Amino acid sequence: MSNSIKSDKPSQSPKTSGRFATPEKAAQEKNAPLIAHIKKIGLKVVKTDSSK
Amino acid sequence: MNQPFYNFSILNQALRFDFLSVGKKVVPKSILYTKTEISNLYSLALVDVYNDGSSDDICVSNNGDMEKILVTVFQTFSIFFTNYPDSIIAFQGSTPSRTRLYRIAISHELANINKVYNVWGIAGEIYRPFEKDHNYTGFLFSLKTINIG
Repeated sequence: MSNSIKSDKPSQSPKTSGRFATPEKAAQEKNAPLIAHIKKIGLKVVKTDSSK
Repeated sequence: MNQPFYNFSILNQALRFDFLSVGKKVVPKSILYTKTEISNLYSLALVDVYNDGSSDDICVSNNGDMEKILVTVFQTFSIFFTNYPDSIIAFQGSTPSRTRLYRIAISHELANINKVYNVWGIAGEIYRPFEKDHNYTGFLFSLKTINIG
């Protein structure tokens, strides 16, 4: 008899349920953890001066 | 990047690109750029589309054309940035192995990519300019006129 051992190591990539009603919903759900992570780190988009 | 890529349809104000992956089978796919709550940040996803209109982001098609698909995704960058030049794209793989695959693909084309785009890797709690042989959990792309603070 074997015991199943579940790892509690968090995944570095999002887990998804796989199937979604629309591509837009799949895309949104897929990237939700990434966007939450970026929001936590903070991100400011800066436009550089391209005229120089 | 002059490798072959799939023809695609441009939809939804250049936020969605549909194409057919033609390998062992024919698989409809969508490349989607999704506006996020962070100003000027869009997320990028590649998903399979089923006949009923539903979608799957984690399905492994094993269609034998991954390189051609990645080149197709890259081709959509220029169209996206033409329409949204002040934006940054964020993405990662739906599994760690796919994220690794994207890292390898970016590394392989880094010299060409850097001519046009800034690329950062997400490493823990920081962003770093993308370097080969470093592990990242996600990636950011922008035009050269854009930086992150």
